[in-house]
Amino acid sequence: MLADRYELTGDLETVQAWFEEHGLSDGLPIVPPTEERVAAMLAAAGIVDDVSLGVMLPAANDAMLEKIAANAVMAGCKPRYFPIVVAAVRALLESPFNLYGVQATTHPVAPLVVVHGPIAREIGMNGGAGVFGPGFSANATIGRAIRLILMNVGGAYPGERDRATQGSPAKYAYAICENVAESPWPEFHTTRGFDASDNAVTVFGGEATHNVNDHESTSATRLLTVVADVMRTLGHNTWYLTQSGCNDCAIVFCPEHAALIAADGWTRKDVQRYLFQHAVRPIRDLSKGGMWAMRDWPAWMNAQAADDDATFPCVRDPDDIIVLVAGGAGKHSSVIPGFGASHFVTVGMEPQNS
Amino acid sequence: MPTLTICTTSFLPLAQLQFDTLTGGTPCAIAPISHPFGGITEEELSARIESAWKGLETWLAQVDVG
Repeated sequence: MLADRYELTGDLETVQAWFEEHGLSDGLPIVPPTEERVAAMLAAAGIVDDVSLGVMLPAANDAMLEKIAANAVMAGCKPRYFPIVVAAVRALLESPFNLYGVQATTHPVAPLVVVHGPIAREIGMNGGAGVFGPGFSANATIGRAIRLILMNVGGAYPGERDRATQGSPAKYAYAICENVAESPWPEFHTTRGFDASDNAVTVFGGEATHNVNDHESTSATRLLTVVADVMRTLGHNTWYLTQSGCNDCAIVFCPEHAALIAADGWTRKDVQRYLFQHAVRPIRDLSKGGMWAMRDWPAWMNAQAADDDATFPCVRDPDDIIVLVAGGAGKHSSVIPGFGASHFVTVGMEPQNS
Repeated sequence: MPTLTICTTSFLPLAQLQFDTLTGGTPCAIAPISHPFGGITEEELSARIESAWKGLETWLAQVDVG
């Protein structure tokens, strides 16, 4: 099923206006997706046939590769970024990610795309200073392409099928890679069964970043106590939407914080275990939270709901805490609370149908 | 299976869009409740349930449940 063709005449402003009038824009100017540009995008990923990657909700449209490519062009992606966009869409369509919920919820969740492996360095993706900010083509345009695809293919237009109460700046563009050169730990995808030399993409449904400012800690335990405190904020969905396998949280350590932790001999797994043990709250707190009556707890947790002293972690398993290292000099890290009804997915990057 | 969706007024457009998308245009039976549903008193909640119940009764009187 080929994408529709339209013949537009006039100057660039006229073309921009057409895309805005037809609800095919995120509000920023787009690059017109001419047949030549779309073909170049597909060719860069070795794609020959226009196949569907799956049905994208909530609009239930087929995520055809040509449409994915057209949106990548509109976002300003360079063709060599396109295999990453395709992999990210494949990951978004995996069942554990619950794209329907992520797209239609009132919660301000956006898919964070984390690019792993040599391809991140090859395309100049930024994992260093200002990693979540502006200034880097690969981060900005891959992230934007995902948002345009979610809107134009998935139908998630704000106020219509995207019911986010306030939305999030993360919904414009949310794509990073790790600062591999300055990380004390192997790149994240190696924890998901990939080799360091493999290219892969993780998608994680999260809020915008919550800052962890710590310029004084000199030990892993003191620093992680601050991190755990940021994770414990009562407003997170994750306290109340807690079914197994649908609940996670990402911590993006700056290199200086990561080095401090590693200097104490801690591995990534140790960090996960410590935070799982310390990012907890007692029932006396949780029962005052904004979704207490609506909680979706398994029986073993509900059995303790009358015990004010019973404590629970904000995720169900240490492995649900994604530990990444990114950013530049300085001592600010980030906690990214999850949606509470989605689980991160990592997929390898593979040729489509070349 | 005959199905009725109970939905708050603010989310009616989404419910109708999703019904069209997932069923291919089958008429959508919705019993609306005034928005919001959360954070209201028990009395307000009871009144809204009463309101939705009337919609449910009307729908049950019309539908062929086999």
